[in-house]
Amino acid sequence: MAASLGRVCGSGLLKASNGALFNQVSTFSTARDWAKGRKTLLACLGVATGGAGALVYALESSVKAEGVELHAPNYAWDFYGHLSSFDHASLRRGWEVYKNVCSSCHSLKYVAFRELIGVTHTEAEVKEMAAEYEIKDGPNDQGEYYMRPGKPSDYVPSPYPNEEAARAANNGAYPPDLTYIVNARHNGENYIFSLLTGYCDPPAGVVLMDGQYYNPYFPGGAIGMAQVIYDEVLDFEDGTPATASQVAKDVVSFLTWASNPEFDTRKRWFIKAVGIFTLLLTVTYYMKRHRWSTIKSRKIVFAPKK
Amino acid sequence: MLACELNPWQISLGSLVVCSAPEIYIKMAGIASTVYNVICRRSSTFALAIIAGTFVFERTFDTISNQIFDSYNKGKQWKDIKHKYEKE
Ligand code: HEC
Repeated sequence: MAASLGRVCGSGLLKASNGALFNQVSTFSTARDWAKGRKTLLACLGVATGGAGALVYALESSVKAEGVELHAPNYAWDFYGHLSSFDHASLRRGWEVYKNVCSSCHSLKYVAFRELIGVTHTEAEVKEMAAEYEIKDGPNDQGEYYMRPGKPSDYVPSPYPNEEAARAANNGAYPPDLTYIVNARHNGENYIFSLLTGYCDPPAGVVLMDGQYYNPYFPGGAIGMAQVIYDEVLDFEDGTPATASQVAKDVVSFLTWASNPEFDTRKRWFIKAVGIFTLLLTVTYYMKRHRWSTIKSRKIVFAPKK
Repeated sequence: MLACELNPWQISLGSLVVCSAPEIYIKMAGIASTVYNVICRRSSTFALAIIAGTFVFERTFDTISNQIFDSYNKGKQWKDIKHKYEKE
């Protein structure tokens, strides 16, 4: 009998009834004994408050066109994507751009020459490159500082000895260190690419001081850095045509590497993490099913006493 | 009608009877039983198997993931272009 009852009702009898729950909850309400007028009044008040809030929000956001700087679009960088590494040929060109263009004003003082080995240059090239710089060292056994050719373990020398000297040479504007600049700006790589390629004439009414230039991507519009990237601003050693956008793309890729030198390793580990966690998840799921199988396959029936 | 004499796998809770499915034992055969007998019966071999298994797994897993990464980024990595800059 119990078996046939079970067959007719299915497991419906064992399920919690949400309808009953709802009725129970509604008896918790303190508004149940209120007069109808009071309820109506409160409902109207609620709707009015909500409406006023929505109106204020709508008015507020309709005038959100504040500010004159442009927001950089997102470009299809070749290092975007969960598995994509840097394009190291591009990084190598980017170093060329930094060295030939940016390094006359910007330091890159947290990058050591040795870090370029195996990323953009061979060891022999880096040794040669570092030796072209004169590095201040010392004190020697006479207590004097002296200049010596650079070594791979040296950090990239800065163009100015200190911030004051940098400001004095740039109309009071300080060219920031470029090592971590990509991480230090919102939407780093897209912003810097747009900044470098976005110079234009100031719109009517914008007055620039001496030594200022107009760039719609720079907050405020007036930037102390002149346009430095033009078509053919340098010749790439690998023969890539040096259009302005190519130059900007390469230097920004390089600066992205400088800010995130662990980038490629991170991508590699992403694959491993996904693989391991997929395995672990499968095992965990199997174990869960296995442990629960006895509980799930047992059956509770009603057997009335004779 | 359910009989009131309980089978061994049934537990009586007053008028409720809980029936657990009888446990099922999978009979090991062939490789599984060999592996069990040779490896799992002694802690020394078991520990050794774990160490060796870890080594083999790690090597294969790393090789496979690195191959995925390298083939996905073919031509972009330093090792793909360094031959152009290395002097003999
Ligand atoms: C003639 C000197 C000069 C050169 C060359 C130069 N810059 Fe600058 N740069 C500056 C100065 C000065 C500032 C500070 C501007 C300011 O704060 O108004 C600056 C600021 C910047 C900023 C920061 C903008 C911000 O949001 O604060 C970035 C990024 C930048 N430069 C990138 C570059 C890159 C990349 C190159 C090489 C392609 C380069 N600069 C070449 C002088 C230079």
